[in-house]
Amino acid sequence: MHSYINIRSPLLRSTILPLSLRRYITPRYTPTAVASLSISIPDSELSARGFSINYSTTNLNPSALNDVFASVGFPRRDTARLNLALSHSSGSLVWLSRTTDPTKPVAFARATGDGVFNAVVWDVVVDPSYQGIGLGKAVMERVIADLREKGIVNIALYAEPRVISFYRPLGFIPDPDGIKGMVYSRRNLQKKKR
Amino acid sequence: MCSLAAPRVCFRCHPCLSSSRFEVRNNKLLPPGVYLRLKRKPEKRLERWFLKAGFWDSIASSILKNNNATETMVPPSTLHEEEEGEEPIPDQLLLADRSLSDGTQEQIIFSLTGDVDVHALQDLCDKVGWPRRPLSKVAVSLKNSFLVATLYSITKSPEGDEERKQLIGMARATSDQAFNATIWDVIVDPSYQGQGLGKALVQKLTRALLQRDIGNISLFADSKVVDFYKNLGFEADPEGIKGMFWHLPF
Repeated sequence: MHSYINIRSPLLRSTILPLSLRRYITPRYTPTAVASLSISIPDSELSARGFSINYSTTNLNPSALNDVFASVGFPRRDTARLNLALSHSSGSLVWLSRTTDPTKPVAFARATGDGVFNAVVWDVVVDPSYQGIGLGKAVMERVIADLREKGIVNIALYAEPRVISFYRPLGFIPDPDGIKGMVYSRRNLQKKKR
Repeated sequence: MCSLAAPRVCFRCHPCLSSSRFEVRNNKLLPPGVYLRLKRKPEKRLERWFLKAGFWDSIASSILKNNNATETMVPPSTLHEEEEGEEPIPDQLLLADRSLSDGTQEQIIFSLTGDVDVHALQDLCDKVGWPRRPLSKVAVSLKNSFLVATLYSITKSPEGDEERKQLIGMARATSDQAFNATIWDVIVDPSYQGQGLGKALVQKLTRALLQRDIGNISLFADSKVVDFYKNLGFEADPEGIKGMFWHLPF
């Protein structure tokens, strides 16, 4: 039986999913069959290049992760809250480290979600010294494969304009059928009040 | 280091994204050449900080609180000054109490306790035309959601002997419980739409998330309801940041 797939977005009135969106949601084959097709750099090659692949936070040094965040211009996070977030990234978590320095992440990505239908990928970072060699793609492909193995195919993320072209070849589409990513912003309410 | 010319996965290295006002106090923390145009005047009011904050600053609750030469600063609380004295959203809230034309008394209750009967939810989804989902998966998805907000209608017959409780709305949010939350599946019974209940549902859920110190609240809205969420304080494509969805290969 196919895994149930549906792009759910907040809707008030009843809408039938438009035909154009159906192709995003109707699987033609079971997810596991396709998952194996989508890893461009296999584990063995990463290993040969001196990288370890990690799927849990066990060896992850949170302040090293903060360093990577800072180096790409993300805000640093409070360590306690970061640990809290990492323990609740129940969707998926993948990070790469140098085998010679196993607690320091060089590439990282995590996904949150409800574990069955939806997932959102956050904090995709690659240490600037290791960018441009396919590590970002490697972690993203593994996060996607991990989520799909759990049966989750509604995978979303928020992409800054210059990285949209990074996510496209991974299979992401911006605003499919006009679905918009929206974020709560208090200042919008401030503007309205005036 | 992070030049635009190179095809790199590098977020937030470009000047135009830093519309915030914080000062880089210790350049040793950053590789040379990575610019961060950040200036903060400590005496600026918290309120004004919020007014000028950009997208990433809205998730500032996650940032270091002790100021030891960090790149970005965080306000003491994610709640706006006016909101700080606000009562926390209770588990149950009475939204409306009215008499219907046939004499029955109806109460609309907003609830955060999250106990949802999946069969009632399926009936609700049928009413708005959403495809059915395996009930066991629905149950798991609700259990794994950080917050589940529901609207119930409780009707009492005029004699006062019969009481009927009906699920008329729901919204849920998944979260990492520290930084980000995403709202999914906002649904209101068609016969109760148009009364501001959906608005109340989302507003209360948003407020509850903010009170739990989740700084970044996001959602994905169908094109028809983008304006509905705009009116509730949500911004589409903030700073050009786009929502993207993964799709199966064709």
